[in-house]
Amino acid sequence: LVLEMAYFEGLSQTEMANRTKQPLGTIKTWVRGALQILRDELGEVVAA
Amino acid sequence: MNCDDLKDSYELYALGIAEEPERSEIAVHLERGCENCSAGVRKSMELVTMIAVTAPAAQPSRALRRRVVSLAQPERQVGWRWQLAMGLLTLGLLAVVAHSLNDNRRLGFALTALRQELRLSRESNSRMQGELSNARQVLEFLKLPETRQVTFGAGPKGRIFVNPGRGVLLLASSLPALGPGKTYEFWLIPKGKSPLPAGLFESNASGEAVHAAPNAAGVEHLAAVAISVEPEGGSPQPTSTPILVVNLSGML
Repeated sequence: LVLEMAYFEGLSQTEMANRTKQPLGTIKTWVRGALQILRDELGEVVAA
Repeated sequence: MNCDDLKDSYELYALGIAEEPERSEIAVHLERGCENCSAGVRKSMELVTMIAVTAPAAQPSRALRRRVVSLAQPERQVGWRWQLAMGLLTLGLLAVVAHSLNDNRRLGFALTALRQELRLSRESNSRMQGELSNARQVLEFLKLPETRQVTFGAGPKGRIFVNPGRGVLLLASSLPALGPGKTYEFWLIPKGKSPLPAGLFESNASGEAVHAAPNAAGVEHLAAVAISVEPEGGSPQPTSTPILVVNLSGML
């Protein structure tokens, strides 16, 4: 969800926090987690 | 911040959602051609580009599905391949553009370094031309048959050459190191008169110096020459006890 908001809607982390009414720290954790999953899933494709 | 501090923010930067100060720091690293950050951001750009393929597939209505499938049936495989080809082409273009930008940045830095080197070479060349010209003048002075010389050796060591038509030349060594804001001043002392300023000079790191007082009028009336330490810019009269006085009487 956070990556969709960042990628497809162009929201900053602060804007995501306002949109979801979550603390900025929580959003940052979510983004880090989502990026980690993305790295794990797509990292090999990109590295190749 | 160093590259290690920034590496966790490469994807955020690539997504355009990095917060300050990381965003500005990465921009600075990229601007100065940091190889770690350039490679990291390039890889992250490729990674986040792949987000497009993670978008969940939408379920069309039965009617729409039927219409689309009936229209696209013969070309369905081609369309899917075409999309994949376009995606790969876009990735390739992104990589080429990023590589080209990086190359341009590297070339810019190389050009700046070469310009700097050229400027230093010109300055060095100009300095060497000046030194060569001085050496030629000294050599010419020493070759003249009417040039006389006197040797001195207590404290500073060296020789004074005097030529009635060309002036006075000093070759000195073992000159004491000067303090900040100080310079050596050369003096011509006519018989029975006050010292006349004859130019400022400095010694090299070994305490050696060459100084000419060319075209000094009336050198045949000189009683002595002297060196004193003066404030930067020199003085019209010596302000300190000379570190060297060389008597010329009997020489001329």
